[in-house]
Amino acid sequence: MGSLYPIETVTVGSGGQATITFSNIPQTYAHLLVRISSQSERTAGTANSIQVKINSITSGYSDLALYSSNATASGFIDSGAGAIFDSMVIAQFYSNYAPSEIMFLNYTNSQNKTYSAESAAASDVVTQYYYWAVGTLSNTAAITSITLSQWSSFDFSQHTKVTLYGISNS
Amino acid sequence: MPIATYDLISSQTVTGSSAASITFSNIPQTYTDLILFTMESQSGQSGNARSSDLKFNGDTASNYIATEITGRSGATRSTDVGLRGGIYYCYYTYSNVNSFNHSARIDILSYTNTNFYKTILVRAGMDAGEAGALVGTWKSTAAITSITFQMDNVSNFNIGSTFTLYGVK
Repeated sequence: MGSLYPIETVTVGSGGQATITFSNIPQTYAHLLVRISSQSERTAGTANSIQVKINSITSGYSDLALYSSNATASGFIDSGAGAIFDSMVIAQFYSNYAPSEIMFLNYTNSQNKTYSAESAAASDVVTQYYYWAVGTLSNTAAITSITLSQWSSFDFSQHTKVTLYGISNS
Repeated sequence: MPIATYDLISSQTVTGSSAASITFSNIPQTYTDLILFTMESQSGQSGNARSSDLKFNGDTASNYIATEITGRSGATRSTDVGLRGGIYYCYYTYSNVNSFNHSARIDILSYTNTNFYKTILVRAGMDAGEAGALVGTWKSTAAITSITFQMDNVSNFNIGSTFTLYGVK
């Protein structure tokens, strides 16, 4: 892997934030990496999910996932979803920020877009989760924007931090 | 001109004699995240389970919790690990050799943030036939200033085991 360069960091301030968007993404890197430390404003102790959209596209995401929940391992295929992580549930609750990472490969080329996505949460309060997937967006446009939101429009909590990195070829 | 983000903070290699633990102290508080890479040779006794833990800031109380998903010989397994005195970043019930090699990548996100508990992601594998991923939480809001790899009381890190800590801007 080439060198990793920070493009932009968003840290959610007091009062929370419904969406986090990286726009006008430079087209000069080989790959993109998004690292997330997030919490949901949904009721404490209740799980919620992040949803990630490329170029504001709301359909055509297909994931092959490995999933662990409540000490049960499983795998599933999620075809034609409305976002990355569309069918997953990750606990995000008081004092515990869930880590996630998404890598977009060859994001400027004219092929369908591929990605790997990982998210997890550990807790002694609610169900624990681990999720890892490889996926494809059936769209050939270069990635110029990435938007994060949450299921049912809950806000990201204060101190949620998301960083977009570019990965060079050298 | 963009600036590369991975900085080598410290690397430790076991020399002279095997070690029960490895500690990184005085970790700089200037990065966004930390990433650790390990390449270990672990001793032990065939047929016995063995484990190694991660502990932060010297905290050995039952403040750590984790869940893992692993694959071995065509089977998958998921385990929730209740509160205990460290996060298993390596736990093998089925080790059938006296010594094996183990490697791991460990991500520690927002390690300086004092507003929430610290969470880590681990992807690990060993050459006696098991690999998996784990997420763990340290129930403390303190910034992480030291990290200890601690073997169980019947095993050690063999000579040549290497642990490398990077800071990510």
